[in-house]
Amino acid sequence: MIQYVVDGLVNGSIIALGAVGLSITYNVLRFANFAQGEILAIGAYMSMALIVLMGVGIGSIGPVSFGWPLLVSIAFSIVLTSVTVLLVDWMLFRVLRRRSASRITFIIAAFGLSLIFRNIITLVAGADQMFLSFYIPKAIPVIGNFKVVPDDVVVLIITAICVVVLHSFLTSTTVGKKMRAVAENPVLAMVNGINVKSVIRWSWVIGASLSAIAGTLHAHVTQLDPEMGFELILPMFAALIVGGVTNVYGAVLGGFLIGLTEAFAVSMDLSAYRGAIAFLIMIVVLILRPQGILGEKERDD
Amino acid sequence: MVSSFSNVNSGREMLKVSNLVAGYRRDLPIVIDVSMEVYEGEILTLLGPNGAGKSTLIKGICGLVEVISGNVVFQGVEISNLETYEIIERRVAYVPQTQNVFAKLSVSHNLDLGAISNVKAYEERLEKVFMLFPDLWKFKDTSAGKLSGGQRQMLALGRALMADPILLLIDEPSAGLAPILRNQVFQQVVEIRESGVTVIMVEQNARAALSVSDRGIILANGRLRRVQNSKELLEDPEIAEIYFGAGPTVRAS
Amino acid sequence: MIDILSFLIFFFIVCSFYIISSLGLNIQYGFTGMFNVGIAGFFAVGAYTSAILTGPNYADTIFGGFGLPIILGWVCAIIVSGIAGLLVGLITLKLREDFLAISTFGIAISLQLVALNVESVTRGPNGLYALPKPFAHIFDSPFVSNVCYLIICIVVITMIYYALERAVRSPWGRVLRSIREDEVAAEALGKNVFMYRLQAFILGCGIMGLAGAMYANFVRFISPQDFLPIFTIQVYVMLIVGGKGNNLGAIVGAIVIWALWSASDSLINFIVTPDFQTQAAALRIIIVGMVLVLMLVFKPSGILPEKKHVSG
Repeated sequence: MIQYVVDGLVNGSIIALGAVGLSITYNVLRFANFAQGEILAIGAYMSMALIVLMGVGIGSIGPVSFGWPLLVSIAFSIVLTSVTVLLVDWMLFRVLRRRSASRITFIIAAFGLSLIFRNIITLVAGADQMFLSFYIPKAIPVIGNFKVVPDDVVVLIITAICVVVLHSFLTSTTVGKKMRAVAENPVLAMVNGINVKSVIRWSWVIGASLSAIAGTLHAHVTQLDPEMGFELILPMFAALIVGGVTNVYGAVLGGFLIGLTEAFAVSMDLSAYRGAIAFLIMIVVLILRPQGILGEKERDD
Repeated sequence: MVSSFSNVNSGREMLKVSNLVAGYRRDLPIVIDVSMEVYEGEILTLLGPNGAGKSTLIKGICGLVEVISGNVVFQGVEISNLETYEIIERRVAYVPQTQNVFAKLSVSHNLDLGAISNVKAYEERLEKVFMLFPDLWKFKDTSAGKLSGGQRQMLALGRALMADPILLLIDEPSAGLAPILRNQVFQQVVEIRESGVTVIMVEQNARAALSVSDRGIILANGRLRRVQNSKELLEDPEIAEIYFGAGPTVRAS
Repeated sequence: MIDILSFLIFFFIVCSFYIISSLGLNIQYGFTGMFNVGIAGFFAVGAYTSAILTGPNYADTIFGGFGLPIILGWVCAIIVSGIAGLLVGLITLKLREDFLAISTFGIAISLQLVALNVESVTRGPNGLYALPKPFAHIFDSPFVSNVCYLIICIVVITMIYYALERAVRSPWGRVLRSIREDEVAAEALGKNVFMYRLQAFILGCGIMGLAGAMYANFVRFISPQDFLPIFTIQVYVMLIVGGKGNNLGAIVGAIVIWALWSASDSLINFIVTPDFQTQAAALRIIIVGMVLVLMLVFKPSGILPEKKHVSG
């Protein structure tokens, strides 16, 4: 049972980090980014590319089966994923913003983009599964009979660090404060002298960086394949809605809830329905509390 | 009350709008061929019926709507092709009519955001704003969404002043306020001007607004109709009939 | 000669399923501005409904094989898909439009999982086979029965087309368009925006369900593999290329895109060696996605832009 909980938390970490990216685009750019799953996948494949190029495996630190090569590749992936996303924003979403296109147009564009990304991955890396390493999770005893897989613990620690860094970024830095202002009222933010274009770029970079981390960790604990983004997008949306779309910490909470529920479903032998379970929870929340657990009622704008 | 600042032309020209055509869409101009000047230290009121293009004109000045043709020159520099934040950086501030505070954030957080583009002498300015609006000090930890209409308007003005502007654009400061609060707001506008800020405001309460301003501009159907001293406008029988006839102006929407 | 003719007949029959789906989407997206990401899901509901009601009794299912008349299967397909639309609409149409997109996406995925896993009804990945096809038992020649099927398709399309044209020109249609343009203003006119959107959404889903049912009874074999997200994207590309908000555009777009898709299919089979089929298929989907995105950026009104209706 304890293993299911740990699995749920690890899976939840990845969903949570991805959902934070969704939350930022949802609140700053104001649309549901259907390409978010593929941004995670791009992050994972970028790391994979560097690990293949370096050819030294993923290293190890003590009982943890990955070391500096994986961390270096995550850093590399953060940069390249951010650049990719900024480029796509510049080519596509910027043009739509300039034309004051409707929100639906943005969503459709993102949906089309997800398909393009997914198939570019297939085209470049092939449709087959790939693995970052020959990692086989091995639990070690911590206290008495209580065993955990060291890598799982590290994934949780990395996620915790990301959330703390994100929190201090949003509350203590000027860019973070500007971002919250734009999220709440873009016109008022503009007349406060905030460069909304720069805030938008920052939002993409933060979303892409968290996605690169989440995608790589996901690739490490499971595997890579072109469908990985597609499989993650519904749980991420569910996390966003369950936690509350207007609250970035809601996305984190929602991520863990969805991760744990999925693990619970697996323990009940319902793994075939994993995707549908995230969806069911989402629907229940939409019926009972449409603003989500931590969300506030949205002013429609 | 007629303003003490009577000889408006003695002020230096601060803003010059030439043949401005502006609107939300290129094919749908709302402001048409408007030219006007604003002088340093004055209070200028924009009047006109609903849909006349008053709000769009001040939004055009601060880059919130598209300038289709014509130009805006602020202190000798053309600003009509600049982004809003670049215009704000040149010490222009704008107070929207609605949604003019960050409702979820506290009063002091709102004021902080007002100064985000211009952080120098922050403490000093904060003190000035609290002196002008003592209520804001009392409610500094309250979230802005919980303020009353009048307090919210004060916060909106205070927030704009935190950027230390030399030109302040205000969109209908008295809209939706009780009569007693209206006069208070206009009085505060005068105080703001006394502190050295030039003010352009859009108003529906023509009589009250003109009585605190130096000059008035009348727009109709997006075009400029008249530019005159407030005193003359107040005494003009034609204007009186249109704007002051039925006592306080009744708003259509 | 007969080969070309029978190919054309086949082409237009399959194209009809897209045309009908595209017309269904037009009422939702084109006229009312609702983003349904679950077209494949509602299409699948229709297909499975008709397959279960009209299909044979399989040894390994516990439900289905009613062998009902095909027309009944189609009517039920419309109703069941409409009910699916009603449920989704009730929950999400009051919220911001993103929620409808996310929920319909979720519905499509969940339905696929159900089709894949509830083997006692759907036979899972093995699919439902030997479904009845109209006229197939009367005429031995597949050519003749296909001709008959094409006639049915044309009749159905014509009926839907005229019904939708009448609907969108009616006061009801004018309200839909005013909701799309300005929800707040429509609300201010005292229109129950939610009810109008719900009606349009259900109608669109019902039409998509009919398309699915007609597909099932034509190909006579359905499995979860037939209802992938690419189908949803294809229908969007068709509608956007043809011209959203224009029913004729929805039809023209479907024909143009389906022709290009089929042509590229033949081209890939012809020039690409089997080793690179995966890459070629991926490339083709990339191109479809690109067409969608480029249309949104450069020509959002499509080939046949929406006629400017006099607003009343």
